[in-house]
Amino acid sequence: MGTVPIYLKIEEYKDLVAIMNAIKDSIAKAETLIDDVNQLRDEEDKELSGCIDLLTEVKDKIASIDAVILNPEGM
Amino acid sequence: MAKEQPQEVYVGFSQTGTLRKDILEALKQVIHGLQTYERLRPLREEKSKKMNDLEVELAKIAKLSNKLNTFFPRSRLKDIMTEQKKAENELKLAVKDVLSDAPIKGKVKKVAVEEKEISALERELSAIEAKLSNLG
Repeated sequence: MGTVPIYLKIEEYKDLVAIMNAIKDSIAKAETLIDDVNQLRDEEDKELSGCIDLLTEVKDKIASIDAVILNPEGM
Repeated sequence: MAKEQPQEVYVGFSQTGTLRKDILEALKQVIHGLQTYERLRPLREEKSKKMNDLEVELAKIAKLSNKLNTFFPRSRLKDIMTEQKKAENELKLAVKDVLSDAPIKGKVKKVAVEEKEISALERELSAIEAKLSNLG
């Protein structure tokens, strides 16, 4: 079955090649987009990680303030 | 009469300098956090836009791939597979028929139904005969 040759008109063959080229272009674009998205995600993760660090620091400060407020002088 | 003033109670804190410093530092960190969020927002928007573009590109690839199919004659592979499956199913059914006693059961059922009909007819006949004898 797979060995049976197929004959295409030259116009159809040209269309076929054009479609193949379009598919290749789209694949290349999609690859670039995926790379961009990955890069953006990395940046986002970095920023989020910084945000988590900041939040931890705020939490520590609040705990320290809380300790002072809950243990006032002479009580 | 003068209204009695509520007694004022005070709570004292030592190390107020440290306390103020801690509050200010916490505020500073929160502001840094807000700045980080502001940096995150455009990143997310850009990522969302890129994801949309990616979706468009993938849809385009799917459409073009589909178009490729139209250039080649339809394969008979599907037909052959369907024929094979049909033959297999028929064989399975035949084997099942041979192995099971389904046809015998069918026959038994048919005979039972016929017997029921006969007995019903007999009952009707005897009822008619009884009525006739009453008349006679």
